[in-house]
Amino acid sequence: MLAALAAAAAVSAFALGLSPGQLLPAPGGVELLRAFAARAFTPALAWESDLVPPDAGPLLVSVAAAALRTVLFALGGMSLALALAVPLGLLSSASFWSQRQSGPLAAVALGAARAVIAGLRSVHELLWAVVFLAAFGLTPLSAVVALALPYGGTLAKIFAEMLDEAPRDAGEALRALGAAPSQVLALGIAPRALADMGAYTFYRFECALRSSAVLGFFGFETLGYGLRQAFYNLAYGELWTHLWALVLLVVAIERWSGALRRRFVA
Amino acid sequence: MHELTPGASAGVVLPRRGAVEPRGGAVARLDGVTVSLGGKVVLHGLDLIVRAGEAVALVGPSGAGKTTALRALGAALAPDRGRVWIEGQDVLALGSKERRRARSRVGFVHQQLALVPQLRVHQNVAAGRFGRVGLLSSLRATLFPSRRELIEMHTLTEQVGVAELLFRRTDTLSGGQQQRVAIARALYQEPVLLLADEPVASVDPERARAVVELLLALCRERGLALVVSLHDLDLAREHFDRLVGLRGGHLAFDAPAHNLADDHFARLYELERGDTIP
Repeated sequence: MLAALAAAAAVSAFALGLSPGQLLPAPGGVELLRAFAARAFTPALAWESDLVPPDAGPLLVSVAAAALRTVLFALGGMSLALALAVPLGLLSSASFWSQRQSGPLAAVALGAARAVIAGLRSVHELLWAVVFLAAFGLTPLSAVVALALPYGGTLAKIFAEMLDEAPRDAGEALRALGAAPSQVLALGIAPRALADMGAYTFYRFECALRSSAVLGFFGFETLGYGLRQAFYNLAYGELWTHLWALVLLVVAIERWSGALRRRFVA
Repeated sequence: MHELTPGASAGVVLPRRGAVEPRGGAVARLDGVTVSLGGKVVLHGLDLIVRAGEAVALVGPSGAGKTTALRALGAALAPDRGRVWIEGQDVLALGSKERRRARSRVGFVHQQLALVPQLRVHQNVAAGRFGRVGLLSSLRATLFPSRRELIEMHTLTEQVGVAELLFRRTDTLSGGQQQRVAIARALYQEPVLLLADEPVASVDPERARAVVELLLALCRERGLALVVSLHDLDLAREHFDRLVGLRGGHLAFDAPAHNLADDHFARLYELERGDTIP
């Protein structure tokens, strides 16, 4: 196993033409890295670049507004992703179909749902964003849909796996006492997977926050937008302000989800 | 073939009237039920009649087919051959809706209890009525139980001794308490027959006696038939009017407890040729 991994690494290094020498920064790169790192703990609290338009509000207000938009895009994307993931996850789970007749129709539907999920997941949100920018233009809907499709696919896949791995005994007991397939699934099997599903959804929400920030590189006014401007303006202090805002957001979401989990799982 | 011992044949319990008509007081009946699991036949053409209000103990060594026989009685599995009657209905011939209704008339206390540990006690008890209602009503009863339902569940859990735990998460209860919740769920079904699979498999003798006595008392009070699979022969002989012995998926005897001699039990449990002593 380890030998196979080492062989794979060697093959890919050779194919890509990697060499240890490339780890050394390009000329001028050291300078840039030093300037960037120097501001890590002294982020800007006011605009530093001369290139910022004079009518721009204070930096911190702008960062806060961008952070809020980052959360809103992530929330919008995740809501739509959940709306996609719940039905798709059900349709692609073996437990859903095994509760019903397992005819050729079930096999076709299961296969179709899994193919849709694979399609959604295999295209990254940034690529979806490129497509939707071309289709709808720079509207918030483009960003939300671009986030929702791959996230919906990933959530659906994991939801289906969690449902299929949940213990079956209570579901069997419900079936034995006359419960219908939908009741067995909803009230015998799903409750056993629900806590894990919730935790995973929160984890994906954190990921959505980072993706939402990066969508700023395409012009959506999330944290990434200001981050890119700061980078182009060589205003590393401003860049760090945006980065720290993102870190704070992710930490805040993590703590919030932790608190919710303790409340509902304990 | 059934291995009927001479002593047992005198005491075999057969309905006096309507031997082929399952309605005559029978709440459930197996007619020549053969079941195979994973390619192995675990029940060989079993005939069994359970009449209203009677208490039956199912005894036999491990692997005799006791659990499978119970599951067959509750129509929880599809036999290869034979018929399963519940309250005079040929369950396997019924449509899915009628079959659900028939199943809902049989309460089952599983050996592993099979509760949803993440739900509250009242939510697990409420599941007892799922056989009679649709998905929306069952969701409503789970999430927003009515006052009337809660009062009913409280009374029931009081009778099994866990009323004060009605709003606790089920996985915070001890094994013994969870077993009582499982009994309450089965009774909440308002069944005509209660099945309990090895309810005393993992408790000490003192508690085993208490659990069996509780089941008997609850069923007697309600006029329910009770079928319990038991490892403990003394407990079975002491508490049950009728004992059904299974061995290797065959009926070994089916007789009133007082008609059975030690010899019957010795033969029931004696090792088959090729068996090794563990």
